[in-house]
Amino acid sequence: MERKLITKNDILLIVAIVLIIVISFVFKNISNENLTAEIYFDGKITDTVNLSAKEEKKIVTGENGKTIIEAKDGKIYFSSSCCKDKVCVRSGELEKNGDFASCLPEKVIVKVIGEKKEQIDAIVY
Amino acid sequence: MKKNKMIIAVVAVVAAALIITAVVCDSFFSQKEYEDTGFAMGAVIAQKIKAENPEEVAKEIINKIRITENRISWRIEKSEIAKLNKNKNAEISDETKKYLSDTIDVCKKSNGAVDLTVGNLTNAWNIGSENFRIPQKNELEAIIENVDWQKVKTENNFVTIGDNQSIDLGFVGKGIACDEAKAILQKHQAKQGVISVGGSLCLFGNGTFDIGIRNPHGNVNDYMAVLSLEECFVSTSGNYERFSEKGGKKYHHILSTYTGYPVENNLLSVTVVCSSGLLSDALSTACYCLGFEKSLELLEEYNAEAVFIFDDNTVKVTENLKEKIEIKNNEFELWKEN
Repeated sequence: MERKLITKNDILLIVAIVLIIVISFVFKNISNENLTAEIYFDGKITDTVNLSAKEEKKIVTGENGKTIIEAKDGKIYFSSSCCKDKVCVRSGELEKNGDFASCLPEKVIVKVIGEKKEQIDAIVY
Repeated sequence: MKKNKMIIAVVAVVAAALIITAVVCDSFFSQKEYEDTGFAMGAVIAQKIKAENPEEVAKEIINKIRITENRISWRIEKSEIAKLNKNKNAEISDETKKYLSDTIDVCKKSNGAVDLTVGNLTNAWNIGSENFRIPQKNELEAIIENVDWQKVKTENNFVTIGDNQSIDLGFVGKGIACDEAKAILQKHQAKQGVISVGGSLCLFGNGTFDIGIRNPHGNVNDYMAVLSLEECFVSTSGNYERFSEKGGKKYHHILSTYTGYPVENNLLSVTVVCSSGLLSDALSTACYCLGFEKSLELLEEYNAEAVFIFDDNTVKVTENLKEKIEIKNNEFELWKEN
């Protein structure tokens, strides 16, 4: 009996390999988002919040200790600050990789980081 | 047949090799770059660096920016510029001298649309600070009479300015910091760097960078278009950046050297792309003041490109950026020539 060029087992093997590749790519790009918010005071990291796990947290920080950052439902935002300009509060909710807000007078920065590649390299403003 | 099995074996080995290469390449390309955020020049300095020693490079960059700030900020009492403003003359360092002469060149070519002797005007308004006030018309008239870059005289490292003048390098400071960042990235032979000094960018290294242009109506993370750029400097001037409000009216921080009041035209922002940080910063302010038509010649002079966003949400782009911009927010529309 002449042996077939490709046996059933070979097909199975190829299918398995293709599946592994596809699944690993999908897994890497979708489920590994893992969004974390980092809170910096005066250039140093002082707090982190797990946004993917929808961690709820209220952080009080800043030069005068009156800057309040709140996290809930996977979003984080400056809810109030004693600064004059309120640029930080106007920055709104941060929720995606690369999002960023700062309170310059109070030296506070909030940054969202994730494992997925950011859509852009930077914003010019 | 043995031969067929051989073919399958070869195919399998090649496939495996390809998979391994793909995985290795993928992890290579997604290699985490070093990120750092800090404060200097009254702004957030955000750095993304790929290099052998990225942490060291980032540290050197922020230190250098702070040194420069201590030289050229009029707000810092012991700075060279503060001394110059106080005594109307001062001995300055070679670096400050270079910044001054490059800045004066833009003042000249823009017909004084931007002017480094704008210090007293900035101070009269204090826009964006708690000391904001609306100066009287005659007060402003008296001030702008003395806003004149031609009165700044340099001899070797000795500078003099007019008796009623003071220097404010606010419209070039962040750009200068970007230039310094590039020099340090180069010195360390970094692979790539994206340095943001309060929103002015230094893009360094091979490849293209996708840069979002901030939506003038949105918050700080909201961009309305993406520019695909190679190594360069990018800077934006917009009326949303810094402003004060009084009596329901907004006063933004870009002051006209001709009227003394915040520039009033149909622009929301101007983004300039060119090969120098100082120039990208100065030109974005100058173009905002000059408006679209009058800016074109100035941009050409410096081989710079720009994106103008108007208050009716149309977007005008200079020739070489037309292929590089993609509007991401359908409230905005790229202006098409008929």
